[in-house]
Amino acid sequence: MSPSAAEAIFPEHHYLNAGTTARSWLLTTDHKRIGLMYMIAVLVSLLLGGIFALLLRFEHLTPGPTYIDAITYNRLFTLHGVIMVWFFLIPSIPSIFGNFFIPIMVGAKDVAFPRLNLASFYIYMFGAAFTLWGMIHGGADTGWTFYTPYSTTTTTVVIPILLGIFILGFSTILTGINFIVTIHTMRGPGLTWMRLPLFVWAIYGTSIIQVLATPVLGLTLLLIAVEHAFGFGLFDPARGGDPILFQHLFWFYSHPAVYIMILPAMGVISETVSAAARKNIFGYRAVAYSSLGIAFVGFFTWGHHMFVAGQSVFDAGAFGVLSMFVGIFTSIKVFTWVGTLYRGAIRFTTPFAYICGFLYFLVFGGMTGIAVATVSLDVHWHDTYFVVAHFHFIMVGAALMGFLAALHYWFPKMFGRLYHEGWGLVAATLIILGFNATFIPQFLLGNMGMPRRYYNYPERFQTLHVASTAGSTLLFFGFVIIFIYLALALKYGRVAGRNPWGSRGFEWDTPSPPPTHNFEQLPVFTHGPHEYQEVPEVSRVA
Amino acid sequence: MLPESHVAEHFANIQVQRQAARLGMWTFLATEILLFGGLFAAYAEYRSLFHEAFLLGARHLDAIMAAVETVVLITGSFAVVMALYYAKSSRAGMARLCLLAAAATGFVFLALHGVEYFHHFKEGALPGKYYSFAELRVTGISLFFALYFLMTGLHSLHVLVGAGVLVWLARRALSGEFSGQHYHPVELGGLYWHLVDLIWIFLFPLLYLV
Amino acid sequence: MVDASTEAEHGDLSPARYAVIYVCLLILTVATYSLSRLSLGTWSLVIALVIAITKSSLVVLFFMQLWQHRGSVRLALATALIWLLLLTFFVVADVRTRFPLTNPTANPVLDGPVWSPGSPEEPSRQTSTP
Repeated sequence: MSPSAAEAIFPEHHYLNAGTTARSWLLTTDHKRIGLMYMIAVLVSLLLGGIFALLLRFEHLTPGPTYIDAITYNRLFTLHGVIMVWFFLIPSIPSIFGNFFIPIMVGAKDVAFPRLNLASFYIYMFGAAFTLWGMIHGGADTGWTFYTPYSTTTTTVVIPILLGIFILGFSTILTGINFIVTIHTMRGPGLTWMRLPLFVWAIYGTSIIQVLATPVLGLTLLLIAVEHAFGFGLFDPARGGDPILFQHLFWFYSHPAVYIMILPAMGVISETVSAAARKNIFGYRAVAYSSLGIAFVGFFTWGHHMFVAGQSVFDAGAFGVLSMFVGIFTSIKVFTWVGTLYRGAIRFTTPFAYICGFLYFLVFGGMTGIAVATVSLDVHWHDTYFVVAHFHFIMVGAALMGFLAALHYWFPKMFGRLYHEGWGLVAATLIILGFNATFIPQFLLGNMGMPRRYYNYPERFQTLHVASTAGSTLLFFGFVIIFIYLALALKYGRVAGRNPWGSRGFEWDTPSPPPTHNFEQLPVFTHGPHEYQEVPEVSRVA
Repeated sequence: MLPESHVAEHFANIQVQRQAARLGMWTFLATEILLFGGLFAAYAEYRSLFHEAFLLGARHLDAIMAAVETVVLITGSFAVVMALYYAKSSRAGMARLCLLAAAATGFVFLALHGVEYFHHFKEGALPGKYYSFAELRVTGISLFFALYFLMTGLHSLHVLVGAGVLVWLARRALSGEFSGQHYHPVELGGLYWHLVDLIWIFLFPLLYLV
Repeated sequence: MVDASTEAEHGDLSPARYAVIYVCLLILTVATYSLSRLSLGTWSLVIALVIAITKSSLVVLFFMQLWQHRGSVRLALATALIWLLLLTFFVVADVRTRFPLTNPTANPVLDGPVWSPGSPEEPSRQTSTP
């Protein structure tokens, strides 16, 4: 199964050219086409959210007004957060790569509910339309966290944005249901739970979180909208309402939401790590169970966002201790990945560069997470740039590395062509360096006391702010380069062939790009997906 | 009609399809439980803070009307169970009748609720800043009514959707679509209806009785 | 694959049995209403919840057939319920263990007997009590 240029054939009939009308795409129930449509939507969201981030960073080049006013600044950080969290990060890996690969990895022709899958996509677009409409009318200035009582009394257009996210929540829930049912009921013959690819385990854990947490978000946003429109007083202290109740309800979703964002990236790393090292995964069960562990424990920790909000000391203490447990499961994964790489036959490809970036960002970002989860320390760091740097390390650093690793690792499978490795490594380097340059100054700023969401700042913080902005520009250029060489590769890339990486993952047994029904013949599974020590005698496709 | 014709292309066989449909619907029901869960948590908090308001507010609601509403919904659940039984026995006429009866209970429930709401509207027992019911003045009472309207309102919306689903299933039953091999749409619609009943089983005592 | 047997032969109850469950639910409804008319203090909430849980168990196990369907569907429901309890627990624990003066008390002016019936005029909606 070793890759060689002589073997690389581009199949004549595949999912991309099976039907070329607009209708065949817009009304498709093929999970692979739906995954691609999500890809376009999600990448546009990334661009939009990224532009907002750059606008914010440029405003911070000087203390005081630089080129926008304070209200605009508030709206920009709100929209940056809303778009990046809900329209980019949460759907990114599950809706693109989950949709594309889960059926293939479990040996099925499609997900359990293909029409529901298409509906999920259109619901996403519908929610996006509402939010866009809100943005055009000036957008909200509440921050993506919509804290009461400001969010219920602000005069900015908060309701369309709330509705947009509410609608988007349905998309998330339906996708989660689809994946859970697919994984439970549609595994191919011989595919036991303990032979599932680790990416599938990660998406399974993610889907459980999505299904349990998102409804609470939906309700909470609805309550804000009702409160804003009608003033029922549910969060208004003058009526006996408790603003902290809002925070409880909001963070009950939003903390597990961050695991929705990172768990799929961890799944990607599990896939790419064994392919990059050409070695069995170090501890399969440990990684599989820790995916569920993170999904489970992630729900017990939400109050660590509220240490200084006014919740009781009992709750604060309980949440502080419970938050530490997440570190255990994350560490298990990190040790397993490193153990896999150790003494592996590593080729330094672009996905491997992103793996390195991911490990670095996850470890440092994660450790700062444990730090801010310590109540006494968070009293100092809460609402400063320290927290901002922490979550960007994980969300942009780690999760985005995972996304880019997935994009590069699976690009040949999805499009049948190879991208230019040299440029891939250049872009990866720029992004990793640019990221560090953007966010390490922010840790320092936060520790020095620079508050988050502040338009103005004292002169002594300017150097670090300028450094951070310079880094963000570098980061942006990295993305531009990626976009260029991937777009060119779509048309001019070398033909990839079935398995250019020599990976043992199940998805590499079908042609690149795959046929509409995923396989020439439905596979029978006789061993696990991350096994490199033994070369199979017969092809896995029966 | 061959059983295979009901199996969608991507499923291996009818059992897989049935199991998938059932798990899909139960997972969706789990999300509905959590949707209401936020409101139950809010109820628990505010009841803890404003115990007197919640006691007096409950006294003021029409518990007998609500008990009748409970009976109505439970009857609807029973009708749905019978509809599934008839669907599995390929008795299209009876299945349709039971589905329509269940939907009717939903509409009766909504009508009774409407009467309740109308009374509250007239006397001014409304949520938050609209509260103007002079005979009941205790701190937190406007919050009680806010929760009352929010919880029963959200629930009523689900009753409406559930009744609509049952009517749609009744139409399909009429065409003889359901049989011992193909009945899972009725099962799934029934599950949703039962959930609506379940939520009311808790709303009834929490809002009206205690 | 032709499946000759129907689910009606695998654990479904007869209509008569379902009717019995239905009657039990009606009886429990009457019970919960009657018991609530007695003044039992804190026990009234406990009794009401116990009856509600019993009723819902009957609906879930028999009407929704969870008694006969094993595996993942039971897990889905159990998880949802436990998560609901998790949220409720920490929210209630918060208000019950806070320093009492930090809890919302509502504004007696707004909820108090200052208004006259029929003129719901309210002071401007402030978010801080004076």
